[in-house]
Amino acid sequence: MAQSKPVITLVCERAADLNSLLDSKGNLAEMPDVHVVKFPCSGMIQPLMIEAALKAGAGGVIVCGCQIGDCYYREGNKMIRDRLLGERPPGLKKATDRRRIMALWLSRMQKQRFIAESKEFIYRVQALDIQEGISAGNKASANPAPTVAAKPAVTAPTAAPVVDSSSTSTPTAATTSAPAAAKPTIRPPTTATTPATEKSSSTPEAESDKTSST
Amino acid sequence: MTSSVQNESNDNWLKQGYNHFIDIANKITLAIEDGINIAVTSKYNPLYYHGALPQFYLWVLFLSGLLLFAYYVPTIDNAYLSNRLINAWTSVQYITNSIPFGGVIRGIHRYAGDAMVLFIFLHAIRVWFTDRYRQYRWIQWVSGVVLLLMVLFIGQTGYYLVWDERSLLLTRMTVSALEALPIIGAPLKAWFLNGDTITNLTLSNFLFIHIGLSFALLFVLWLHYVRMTRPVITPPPAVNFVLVGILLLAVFLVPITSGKMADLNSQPNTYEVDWFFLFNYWLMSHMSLAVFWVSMTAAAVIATILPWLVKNVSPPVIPAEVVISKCTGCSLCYRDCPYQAIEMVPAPAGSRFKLLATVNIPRCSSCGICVGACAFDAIDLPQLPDANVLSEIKTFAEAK
Amino acid sequence: MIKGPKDILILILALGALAVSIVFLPWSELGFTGNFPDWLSAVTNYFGVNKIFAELGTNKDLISLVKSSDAQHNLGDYAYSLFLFGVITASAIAIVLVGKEDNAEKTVLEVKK
Repeated sequence: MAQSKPVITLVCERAADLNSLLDSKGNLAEMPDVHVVKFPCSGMIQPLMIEAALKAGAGGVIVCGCQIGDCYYREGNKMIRDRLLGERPPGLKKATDRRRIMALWLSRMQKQRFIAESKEFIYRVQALDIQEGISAGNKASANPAPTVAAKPAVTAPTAAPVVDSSSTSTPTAATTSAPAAAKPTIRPPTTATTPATEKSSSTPEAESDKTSST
Repeated sequence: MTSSVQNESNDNWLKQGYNHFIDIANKITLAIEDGINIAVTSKYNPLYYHGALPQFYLWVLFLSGLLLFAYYVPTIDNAYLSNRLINAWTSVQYITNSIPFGGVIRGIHRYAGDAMVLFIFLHAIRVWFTDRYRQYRWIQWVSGVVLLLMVLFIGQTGYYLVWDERSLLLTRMTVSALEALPIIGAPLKAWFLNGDTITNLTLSNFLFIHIGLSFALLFVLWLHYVRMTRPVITPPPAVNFVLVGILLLAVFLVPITSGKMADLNSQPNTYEVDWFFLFNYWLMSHMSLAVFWVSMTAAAVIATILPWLVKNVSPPVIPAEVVISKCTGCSLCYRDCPYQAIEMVPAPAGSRFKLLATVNIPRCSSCGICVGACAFDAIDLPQLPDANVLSEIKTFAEAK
Repeated sequence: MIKGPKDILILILALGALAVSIVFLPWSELGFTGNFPDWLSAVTNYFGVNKIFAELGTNKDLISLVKSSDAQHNLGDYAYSLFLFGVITASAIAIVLVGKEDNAEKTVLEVKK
């Protein structure tokens, strides 16, 4: 793939020290596709921010906090970890592609570990992109009606970088295509998936109402 | 004018030196923690439970102390009651030599006290080096200094209770130190001895101080924990096991014994120093009492006001702000705030919701955990609004 | 309660620690010889652990080790505390080995169905 999707890193400024690795725009000098957003504490990261990044076309999101047990503000990293795992509200929406999220808990000195892990993550995400490019094509040809209605972007399956809103639809696309060929014909018409896609295009207030209730 | 300029440059020199020192100390602390993480992972890293370690020893002390208390006799002599001499010293001998595992329990009580002081210092040094004791945490630091002083004093009274020659010497040294104090010296001495001289009542007073102050520790511990949501006060079992194991090994290697029974007519003048509790007696015997009191008071005062001495080093805390129009009163931020800085108050009349979050400004650490807890964008850090974060994320994600 | 091989391992280690700490109690309390009163010999025979005590009673290195404490009285108590130290430290190491999570520094989210 010539051009890979951007990856957003949401990082606690007291965790792995990335300052020396950044260029002037806040991207990793080594991997300019990775943009770093710093927070006073990883506990400040909202699941909403991760969803927004994926929705806006990011290939993946890396969350980086301090070692579990060692939060400067006592329990921020545990909070965001539990939120990502769905053990503490507000959590991620069901439709969010969880394969595109990775959380690292690294102390200030472990920037090498950060680089290594994020490189691996980017490969994983790129593999997902390729897989989805194929599966989106399969899906469009196999059962075009519901997907086209929800998201026109999927109709152009070969142009991978264009898929803007498709990141929200990825779980359905991925789970349906690869393992069982029977599933795609069953799933799209059911009401379980369609409200989720509707929700993601509605107002943020409505979204958050949904997240807090789940 | 000139003097103020001079002050400033002095200040800068001090400040730079201090910052440099803390920087290095912080790096060393982090390196040690990283090493332990590699060995046992963060789950069992005792340095991530540094506050819970002395707390665990406190429970050990309470339990072992209760067992010792069952057999302890707080008198110097009760010749009027019995033909055989039964006093503090003989009761301690009885505990040590006759009761099954009495000596081990006594040893555990002694070494748990030593270990508690050691781990309190570890705790204090870690929060100092990692800069976790100032601003919104001042109450924890100040109550911590009070707790340390109380623990040291309680430990010293424990040494009087044994009533061997060292106890007598320490009691006399304390009396002379108290007498050296102006105005309050005489009443303090009378309080300490429970009278003018050492009598049976003196030892019952020591026992009362020892146990009474120990329970008073619980009150100060409440202050120590009061502003912290979900304080970490229990280490994981594996760490607890190691903490107990350390005590058992110390008991085996160096069993605790008493010296000769105290004799009020004798003048003992040498003793073994326990560096965890009795270092101030060592200081006392190496300087004049005036110097001793001044230096001890100065040390205590400097330790107490340390959070304000280094006030200028880091930027001030800018508290989080609630967006009243968006707050639904869901209490998520209130539950997640690690410093209990958010209070839920009744919403103003006309609101759709029952409750409204408010920020208790002196407690706020500006960490943003409440922002992460809020699904409605209803709370914000003024220096980093989440709208800015979102637009930064979107700009980058869409630019590609 | 028991869900996997880890839990079975925990159970075995816990029972082992308990057994060792109980077995050493009479040995250290009765002077490290393994010469027990009849009822205790009967009990140890019943459980088939009498050989352990016979071995412990003749092992000079071990006896000199437990006698190396400076305690004046009840040496058995102190020897037993040494054994408890061993058991409890071994338990701690076992707990850490069983319980430590290799990916403590990384959280990968499970894909929800």
